[in-house]
Amino acid sequence: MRIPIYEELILDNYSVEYLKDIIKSSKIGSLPMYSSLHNIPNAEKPLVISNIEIALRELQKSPYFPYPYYIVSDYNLKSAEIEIFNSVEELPSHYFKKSKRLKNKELMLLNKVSVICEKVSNMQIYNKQKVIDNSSLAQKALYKKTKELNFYEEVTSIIQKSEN
Amino acid sequence: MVKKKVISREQQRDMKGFEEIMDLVADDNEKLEIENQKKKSDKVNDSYQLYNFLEDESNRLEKLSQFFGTKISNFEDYNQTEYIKKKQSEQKTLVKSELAKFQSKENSPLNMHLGRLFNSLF
Repeated sequence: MRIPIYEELILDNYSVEYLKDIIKSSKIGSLPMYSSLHNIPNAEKPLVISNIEIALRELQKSPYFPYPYYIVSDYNLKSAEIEIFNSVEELPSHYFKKSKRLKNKELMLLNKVSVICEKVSNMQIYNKQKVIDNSSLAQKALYKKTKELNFYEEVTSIIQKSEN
Repeated sequence: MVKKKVISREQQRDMKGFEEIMDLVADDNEKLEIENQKKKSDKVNDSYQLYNFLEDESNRLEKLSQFFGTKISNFEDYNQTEYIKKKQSEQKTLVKSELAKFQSKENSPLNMHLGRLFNSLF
C-alpha cells in the first residue's frame, strides 16, 4: 500500500458502465482520491455527478469511508452523497503530505494501516451507513421526548424546592 | 550550533588587516552551515510528521473498525430506541400528572397567579 495521500482518478468517459469499471479497478476506498471535472461543459456536470453516484451505489462503495473520494469542480454543484470542492487546494489538508521513502518503522506502521483499512473496507460500510440514516428519525423523536421530559422534571424539581 | 575556534594571540597578530575579509568568509561558512542544519532538521521534522500522520491514520481506522464492526452491529441486532422511547413516554405521563395534581391544589402557584389576574381585571 502507498502512503494515504491524494491521488487523482482521471475519468475519460462518463457512462455508468465505464464509471463502474474504472471505480472497480481504482483504489477508491483504500486511498484518498478525487476526480476533476474541469474538462466537462458545465451543463453536463450534474449528469456526470449523478452517474458517479449511481456507479458508487451499484458497487456499494462509500465515498467517505475508509478513505474519502471527492469531486473537484469550479461550477457550483451540489451532491447528496459526494463532497464537491472548487479546486484541489480546497480539499481537506489532512491528506496533503510529502511523499518520501519510508524507513522500517514507518513501513511497519503503513502495513498496519493497510491491514485495518482492508478490514474496514470489508465491513459493507455502504449498508451500515443506511442503518444509521434509517435510525435517525427514531433518534430524533427520542431526543424530542427526552427534552420534553427533562423540562417537566425541571419544573417539578423547582416547585418541590420552593415548597421546602 | 556553529563551533567557536580559540585563536592564540600570535595568530591574532598575524591576522591583523585581514579581519574584514575573514568576517566575510566566516559569514559565508556560517550561512552554509545554517542551511545544512535547516535541511537536516526539516528532514527529521518531515519524518516525524509522516510517522505521526500514519499513527493518527491507524487510530482513526481502528475507531472506524470498532464503530462499524461492533457498535453498528450491536445497534442493528439489539436496537433499544423504541423501548427507551416507550419508557420516556411513561415517565413523562407520570411527571405530567404529578405536576397537574400539584397545580390543581387551591393554593398552588398557578391558581394564585390566576386569582390575582382575575382580581385585577374585575
